[in-house]
Amino acid sequence: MMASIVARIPVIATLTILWMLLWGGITPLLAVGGVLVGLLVTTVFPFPPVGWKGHVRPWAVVRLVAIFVVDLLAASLQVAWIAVRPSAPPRSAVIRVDMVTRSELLLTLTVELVSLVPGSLLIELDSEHGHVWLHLLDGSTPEKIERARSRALAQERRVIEALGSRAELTACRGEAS
Amino acid sequence: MIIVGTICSVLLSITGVLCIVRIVRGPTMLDRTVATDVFVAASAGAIRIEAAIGRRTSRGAGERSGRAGRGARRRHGRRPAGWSVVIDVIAGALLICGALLATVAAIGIVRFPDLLSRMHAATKPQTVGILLILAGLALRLQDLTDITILCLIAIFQLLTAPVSAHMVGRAAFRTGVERADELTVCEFDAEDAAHADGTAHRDEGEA
Repeated sequence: MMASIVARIPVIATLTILWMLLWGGITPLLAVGGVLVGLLVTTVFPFPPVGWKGHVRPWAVVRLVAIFVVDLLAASLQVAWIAVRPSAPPRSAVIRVDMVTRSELLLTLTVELVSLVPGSLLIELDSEHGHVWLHLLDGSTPEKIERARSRALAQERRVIEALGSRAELTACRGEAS
Repeated sequence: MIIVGTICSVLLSITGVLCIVRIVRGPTMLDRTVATDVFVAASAGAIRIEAAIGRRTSRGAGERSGRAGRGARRRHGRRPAGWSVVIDVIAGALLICGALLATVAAIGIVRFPDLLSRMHAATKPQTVGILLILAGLALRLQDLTDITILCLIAIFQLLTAPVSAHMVGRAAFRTGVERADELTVCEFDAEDAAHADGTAHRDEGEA
């Protein structure tokens, strides 16, 4: 019992901070309430441990976020243009992308970013083999499909560079070269 | 700010009407769900824009004229005269752009031919639209507590939008709502579905 609580301390601390932010104040009462709510949430909804053996590389994280913001803006303008332009919407495509990483955390992060960014949407995921199926809004030409594929892989590469382990980084570089 | 309010309410009304068109026309339950989602987000956007124009902080409009109002005047006193006008113009532009993107998202969900394309419209321009509206609201409120909460809303929006989009897309693909013959390329078949489920373990080469 005690050991499980100790293991959950980081989560509970995060939840407490979130709780105080939501209430908009830092008082002892809110802190105690936050810890209690954190305990309750982690007890009622136990979460499987997430394996992560990587390192945080601050510079790569900044790069990841910056490129993501630019991509997000560009992607929404692109989709917006497809929605309002006079010609008919393009035909879509479904592609399979084979990811390098097998880490569930990195895979989740990557597909989350890919889903938000460039005209692509996740429809199916096989974390065991690292396969990801994406739906492309504009899959009208083979070039566009290949560009979307390389973009998804580039996104993964940035995530690995930011948060991945050394082994994944070398695997990723080896595949790229 | 009155002009901004008028433009935004016109845009969001169009958004609402377009969403209702899609909700009525369907054709599937999933389409209706997506349209309802955009509709709810547009309503939330309308409330946020209203709050931004009326400068309604979480402390309430009444109290603002007292303690917070004095604080605001003091803050304004320290700034150059034109500064608050510049901030208001930027905030207004952000609000209008946000409402515009919400409208475009609604146009997308009415015009696009199939469910997954509509999901694209519902996830991308919409998310950015909400972020822009939140940014405009933050510039208008200038209240640290409220801005913290706005940041939390933005983060959770970014975290949850792809998850719901994935669930709808997956459901659409599994139930065959999405017709494979309308795609240019389809690298997904029943075998892959079984594989992804973990119900059948075949060699990787076969898949």
